[in-house]
Amino acid sequence: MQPEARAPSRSSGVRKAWRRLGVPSSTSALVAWIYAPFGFLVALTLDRVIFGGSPWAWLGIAGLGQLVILVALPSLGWLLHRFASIRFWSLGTFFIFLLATGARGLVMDLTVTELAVSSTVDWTHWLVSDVITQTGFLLVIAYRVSVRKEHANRMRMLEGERRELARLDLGLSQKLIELDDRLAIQMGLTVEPRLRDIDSELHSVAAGGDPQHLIMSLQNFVDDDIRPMSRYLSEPVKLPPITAIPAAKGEVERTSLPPTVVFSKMIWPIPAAVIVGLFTFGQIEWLATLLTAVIYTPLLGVIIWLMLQTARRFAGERQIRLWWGVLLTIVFNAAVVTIGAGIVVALGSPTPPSALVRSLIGGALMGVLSGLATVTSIHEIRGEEILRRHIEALSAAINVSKQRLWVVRRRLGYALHGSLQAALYVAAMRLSDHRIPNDEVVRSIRADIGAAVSKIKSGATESSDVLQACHDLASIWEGTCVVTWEVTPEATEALSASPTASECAIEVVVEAVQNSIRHGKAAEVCVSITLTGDKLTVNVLDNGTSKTGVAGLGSRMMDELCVHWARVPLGSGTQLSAELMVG
Amino acid sequence: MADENRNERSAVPLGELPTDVMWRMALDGTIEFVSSEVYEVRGISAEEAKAQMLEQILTPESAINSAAYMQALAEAASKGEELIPFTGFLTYLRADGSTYECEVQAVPQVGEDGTVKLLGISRGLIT
Repeated sequence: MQPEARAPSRSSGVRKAWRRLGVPSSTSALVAWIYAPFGFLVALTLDRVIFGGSPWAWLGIAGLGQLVILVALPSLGWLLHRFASIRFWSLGTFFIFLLATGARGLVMDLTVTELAVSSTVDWTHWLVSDVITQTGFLLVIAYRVSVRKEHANRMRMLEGERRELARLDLGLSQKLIELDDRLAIQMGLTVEPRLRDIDSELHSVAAGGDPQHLIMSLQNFVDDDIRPMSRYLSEPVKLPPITAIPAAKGEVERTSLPPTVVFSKMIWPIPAAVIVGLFTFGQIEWLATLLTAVIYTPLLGVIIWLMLQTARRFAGERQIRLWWGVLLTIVFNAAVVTIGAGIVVALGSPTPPSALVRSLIGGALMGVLSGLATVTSIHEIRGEEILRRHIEALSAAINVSKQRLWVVRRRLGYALHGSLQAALYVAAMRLSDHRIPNDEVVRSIRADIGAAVSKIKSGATESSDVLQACHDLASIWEGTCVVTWEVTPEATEALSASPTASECAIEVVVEAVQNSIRHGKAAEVCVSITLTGDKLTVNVLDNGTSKTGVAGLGSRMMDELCVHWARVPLGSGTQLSAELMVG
Repeated sequence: MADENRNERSAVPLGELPTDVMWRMALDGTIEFVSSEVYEVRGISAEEAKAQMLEQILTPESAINSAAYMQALAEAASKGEELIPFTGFLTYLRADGSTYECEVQAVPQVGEDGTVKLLGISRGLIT
């Protein structure tokens, strides 16, 4: 019995996020570049009435800070991933963020002091509160970049798998098309000239010639031509080289966005509380003290989290048009952050000038972030779904092609190895029995060989009735084992519409039942065949011993015919489950 | 060494070597089927090979020999005479302009409608 799947706990989510922090992309130049707007935000939102300095001076200082981040992150990251053990990568990345933002603060502080841009900013702001704020931003960005990177890797892997399957599918389709032509040519080049020679020798024998040479010819024919051909048919399929996948098989439709979205998915209470809190921390500390920031920032975070969480619950599973949803998210976040800031100010927090505008802008930016990130996330998930769907469809098509190929080769193999070889052997024996064969014997030999050749050319098939096959199996093993079967009406209908799938299902049932009796010494075997969608499930349950033997011809056949198959030992017996596509 | 290789290769049944190219051709030179192994030996796909004329497939000398055999075959078919199979060496053109020598076996086959087709296999030589 399979263990039940459990929803991941919050602590496991935090652990996963912590491990994710250690990946090399967290300290990449990409993270440093994405961080740039956040770094410049400080300069843009700075209250110059209090701190002084021209906008260009502050932009230049922010630019210097950005340069430090751009140099520090990739170089420290390289050192970490080059020399440190993998166990320390997450912690190391966290310290790199602290070091990089600290270095940024130091450079900015020195520049402000040296150029006398402001006299009201002290080093504690740059090296304490700003480091906390900026490290928080870097953590959020690194997390998102690593999610994106993981998605890109997954997409690359899926695309590789899809292309490989498309190649295989095409190879099998070509092989199926070619098989008839190849065998016709092989028959024309090897079998038919020999048959013509044999026929003219039969004429000579009928006219009183010595049959010994003909007997030798018949034996050589079987050994030199028929056996190699039937051996060729029993070997695994060699696929032709595929140089290019046609556009129809190689292209996957573009990932489109859904027209609507569940609005609550765009509301992110915790990230919004954290990001707004981080940004506000530096601002309050700048206006008042570090202690004031430590008190009021978490308070603001909690208020924002509460409001967004309530809204999220209230929105439930309500759908909204995608881009209206993004717009509403922006407006809603702006309103929530502004109300939250208002409450904190009412509770006594220091208020910067133009606090309303800042809150509106900050909230709107948070809305842009969560709205667009949700859209990106939907796009990524849909892209992966499309690829997975393609892979499933290709796997199904490949299974159907493999079944067809197997059936065609088996039929030809039976005809060559069985009918024609038997006709030639019988001919040699009958010629040996008659020292001087008469016209009637020669005519009869020619008729037998002719019938066998016709069978090969027509591709005559055997019965593919699963119920009949089960009945035959039960009769064969009567007295040794009780074979019972159950085939659902849906499965019976699907199998009668697909002779190939039916023939393959029979092979699977015969193989499984015979294994149960011969190797497992089962006294009872129960066969059940059901249909789910396009997939047929064959279950064979027995009460024999559960030995797992070495994979042989039977396993190879099961691999070729089934999408999945497994033999599971039970307490008292064995269960074989096999899934086949119905093409 | 080349002879050893040739002997070893001739022991392998026709059509089983990765360089055995099977084909079917009408007497007017239209190629109806080429097996995909043609890519291995000539560097072009089966579809491209099917679209080629004899002059694009063989060197001028081999093309003349082939055309002469097919003409003789067409005459024999029209007179109701015996259709002789072809066994010989032909030189093929590769996509990159180089040449490739093959041992070719072809047998004429009369269809139910009386049309004559050539079934052939070209087995590359290792020199």
